[in-house]
Amino acid sequence: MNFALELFLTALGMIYAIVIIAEIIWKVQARFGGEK
Amino acid sequence: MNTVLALVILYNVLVIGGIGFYLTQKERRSGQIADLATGGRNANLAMFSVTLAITYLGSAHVYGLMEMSFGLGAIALWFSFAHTILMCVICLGTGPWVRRLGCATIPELIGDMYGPQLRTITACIGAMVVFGLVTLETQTLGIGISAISGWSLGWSAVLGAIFGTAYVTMGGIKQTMWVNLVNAVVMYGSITIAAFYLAFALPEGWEGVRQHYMANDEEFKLSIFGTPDLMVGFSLAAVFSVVFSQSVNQQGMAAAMSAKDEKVIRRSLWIAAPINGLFGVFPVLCGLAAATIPEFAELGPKLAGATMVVSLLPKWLVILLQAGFLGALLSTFAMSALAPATIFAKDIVGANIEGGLTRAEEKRLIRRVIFIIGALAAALTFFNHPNVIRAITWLFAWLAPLFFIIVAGLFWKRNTGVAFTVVICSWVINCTWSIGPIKQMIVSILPGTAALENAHITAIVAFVLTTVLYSFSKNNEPALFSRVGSDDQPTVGVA
Repeated sequence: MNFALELFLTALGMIYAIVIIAEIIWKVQARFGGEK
Repeated sequence: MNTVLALVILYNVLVIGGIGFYLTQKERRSGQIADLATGGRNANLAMFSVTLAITYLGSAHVYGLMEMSFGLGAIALWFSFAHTILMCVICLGTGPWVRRLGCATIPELIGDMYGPQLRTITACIGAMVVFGLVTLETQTLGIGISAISGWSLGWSAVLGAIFGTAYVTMGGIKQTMWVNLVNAVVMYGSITIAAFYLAFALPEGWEGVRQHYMANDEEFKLSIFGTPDLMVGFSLAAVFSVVFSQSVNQQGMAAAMSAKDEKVIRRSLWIAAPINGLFGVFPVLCGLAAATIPEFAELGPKLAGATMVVSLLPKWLVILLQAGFLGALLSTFAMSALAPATIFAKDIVGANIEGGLTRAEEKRLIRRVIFIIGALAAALTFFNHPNVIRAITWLFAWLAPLFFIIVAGLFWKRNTGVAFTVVICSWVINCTWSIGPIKQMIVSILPGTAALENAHITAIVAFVLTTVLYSFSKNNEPALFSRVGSDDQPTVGVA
């Protein structure tokens, strides 16, 4: 795969991985009586 | 005048002037005076997401990433990932908190938690820190204009300050948000076209860049994970200093305070994070590619990437790229100049005169302070050009303790004495760590501390002091959010 496209897709994957992990942490803490 | 510079300036004059004129006319028709600092608190999802994303795309993203990737490789993208984590903290944490409280500035929030004295102290320090950032943004505006025109950095910075000041004084945060929307389209359109164009303009295309690093045994520069040493020394350090120092920064919080409601802030994460994070890919690619071409590589890390872009791309694309880059820098300048002016008008003047300022008086004062800030920043940048990344890191360190006392005051408990001790101790240690001979003496006793920057030291000191002092303190008041549901609603300003 083209190097530039590969780096773009890797960055996109990392960014959404971080966002999804943050959303999961937020939902878990809300379920256990934290900030809603 | 250079044609590229003339067209870049024309683009910004048309976009900024046009939107400013439209908003002024709209305000006159409605007969309402807009709040420069909060824009009426009605920013929708698109405006808020783009503004939050572009507010944190400043000089370090545009010029710093090209320089960093030239030497370190693709791991430089962790600077962007650190900002993605920052977007998560702002959109799911600090942003909704300040919006719920309805305050307009971070010192106002601290004042409600810990009293007027700490509000004034943090207002003075906060205004000083953000003014420092304004001078650095002025310098980078100057670098951008100087690169296009060939003029001296000093005069280019003065021109940049004039543009930046005109930008924000016309309509405040609302205008900045509208201009951000337009600039985001131009900026992302131009970098996407430029990335495709470079695939054909580079001597051996993007694959040639990969082959160069593989042939030179530098494959680690192609991976975002680099080497274990770089992951600890660069990536972790970037995450640490960006997240703790920027998550309660006045510029980002100003955007959050202008949002329509908390739901807008939470939902914006899915848009703001990729808009902010993906911007870094293009400068990193440019830095990596420039290092493989001898004629650009010999210019060194600061100039190689920028010169390659100007040399290899057609003029129309260079104009679009520079217009977008200048737009991003102007946006950061605007939000940075608005922050100390707002703090001065609301926390230093408004909070200390009986009855406060009327909206019209406040607007007039904010505009005047922005003019003074712009003039001072231009004068200072005309004569001094410090290292931007090192200066920004040092300034960030001042804000780290505020994160810990705010989180403790919102969710744990409040004690003015403890908060005062935490911020003063952190700031004294920050100053001490900034004095070379003292730092060297400490490093000779504790060699492990050599790698620590000011932001790390202040964050560690503030975290430890907040935890220990609150654990043993007596006569505490309940946390601000523990009042939710009671008669005493946790609202500071006008929500």
